[in-house]
Amino acid sequence: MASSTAKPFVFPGLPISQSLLPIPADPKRSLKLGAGVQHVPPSTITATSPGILRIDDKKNVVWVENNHRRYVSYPGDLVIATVLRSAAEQFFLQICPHSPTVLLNHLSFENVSRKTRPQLNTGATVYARVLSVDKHLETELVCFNPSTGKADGLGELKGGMLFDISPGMSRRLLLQKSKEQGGIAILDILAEKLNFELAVGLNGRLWIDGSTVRETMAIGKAIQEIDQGALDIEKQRKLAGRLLREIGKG
Amino acid sequence: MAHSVELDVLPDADGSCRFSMGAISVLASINGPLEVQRRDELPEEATIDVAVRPSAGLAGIRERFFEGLIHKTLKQVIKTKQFPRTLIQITLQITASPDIDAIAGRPHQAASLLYLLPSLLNAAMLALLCSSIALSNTFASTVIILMPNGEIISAPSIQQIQTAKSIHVLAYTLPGDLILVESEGSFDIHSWEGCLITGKDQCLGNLSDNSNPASAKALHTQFRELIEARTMHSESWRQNIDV
Repeated sequence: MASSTAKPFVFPGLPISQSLLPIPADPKRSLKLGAGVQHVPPSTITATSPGILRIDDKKNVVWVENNHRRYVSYPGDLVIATVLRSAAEQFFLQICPHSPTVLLNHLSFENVSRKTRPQLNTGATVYARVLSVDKHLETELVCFNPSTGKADGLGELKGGMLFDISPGMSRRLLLQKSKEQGGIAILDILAEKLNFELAVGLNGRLWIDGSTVRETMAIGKAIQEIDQGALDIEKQRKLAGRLLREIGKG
Repeated sequence: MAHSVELDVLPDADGSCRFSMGAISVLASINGPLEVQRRDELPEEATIDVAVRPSAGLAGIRERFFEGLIHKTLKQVIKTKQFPRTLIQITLQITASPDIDAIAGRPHQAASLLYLLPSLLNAAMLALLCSSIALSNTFASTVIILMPNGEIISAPSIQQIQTAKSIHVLAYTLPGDLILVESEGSFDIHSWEGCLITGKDQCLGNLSDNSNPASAKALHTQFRELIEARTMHSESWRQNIDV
C-alpha cells in the first residue's frame, strides 16, 4: 500500500464516507470487510470499533486498526496458548484470561499418530495457529502447517518465560520487516550480542528463552517498555545499550 | 458542571475509564467477551452483566434500578449477536457522590439519586469504546432539570438539583435517536419537550443555532476527540514509517 498522509479515524455509529473506500479496478470484485467494519443494507458501511481505517487497494479490503487489550481471534493468526486440560480427542486451551476455551486436536501436530500423540500437561505453553473461528463454535488451533504437514516452529514452548504485551505490539513484532515497517530495532541490536529464542503470539503474549534467566527478563522487560512508552528507534538503541551494559555484555 | 475523563486507568481491564462530573466520580471497567456461566448463557447473543457499586455501603434497590436502566441502554449499542454464549462484564464503581441527602434532610435510602445516572452511562460508554467489543452505535447522556419558575437548566449544580421541580436523564445516540428517558418530579408536556431539545443540544451539539458553535462542545464531540487522541497515541510509532 502506498503511503497516505490521510489516516482517517473512524468512530462507531457514523457511516464511512464512500470517498474513503477503495475503488476496485474490476467493478465485479466485491469489497471485503475486515475487523471493525460492518455493512448496513443497502449500501452503507459503518465502523463497529473506533480506530484508523486501513485500506488495501490491491486486495480490495478495508478494516479498522486499533490497539485493544483483548485479542479477537482470526483464522491464520499465530497465538501462544496455555493448556487447561486434555480430553479424549483434544486439548482445551486458553488464549486470553477468562475467555472461552479453544480446542487443539491431539492429532494436529507434526508426525503424530494415534499411538504417538503428544503429552501436554496442564499449564504447558503452546505456540499454535488459529485454524477456524466461528462465533457459534469453539475456536480451533493447529500446531502444524496443513499444506506441508511440517511444524514450522509451532508446538510446545519448553522453558523460557511469557511476557504480556499489547496485541498491537505483537502485530508489529510479527511484521516481515519489523524494523522498516514496525519501527522495532531492539531485537536486531540485542541479537548481535545475545543468544535467545523468541515467539510472538498475536494474542499479546511474548515468549522468550535466553541463555540465562537474567537475559530473558531483560529482553522481555525492554520490549514491554517499548510497548508502553511508544519508544522510537533512537530510544530503542539507547535502551538496548543500557541493557547490554547492565548484564555485562555491552 | 464540567466533566473530566481519564481513559485506561485500570491496567488489567479490557476497557476502563474514570468519569468525573462536579462532585460525582465513577470508575468503569469492561471485560469481555468472557466465558459465561451456564445458567446465564444465551444461545444467540452475549450476556451483558452490569454491576453498579455505591461509594459507601452495599448495593441495594437503587443500584439494581440503575443496573436495569444501564443494561437496557447498553444492549442497544453493543452488537451482542456477534459474541453468542459469552459474557460482557461491566462494573461501575461510584467513587465519589455528593452528600445531597444530608443537606436535604431526607433519609438516604429514599432518594433515587437519578442525577448519578448520566455519569454512570457516560463512563460505561467510554470504557466500551476502549475495549474491543463491537458497537453498532455510541451514545452520550446528560441530565436536565426544570426549575419551579419554568427555567430549563442543563448541566445543573447539586444545589440547583435540590431545588428543581423535575429532573430528566436523557441519552442520545450519534445519529440523534433518543434511547433513554428517565424523569422524576412533576412537569407538563411543553416543558418536557423543551428539556428534550436542551438535552439533544448537550449531547449532539446545537443543531438549531450554528452561530455560536464554540460556546460548549457537545458531549459526543468530546468523547470522539478523547478516543481519537488515544488511538493516535497508540499508533504514534507509525509516524515516521512509510507503510
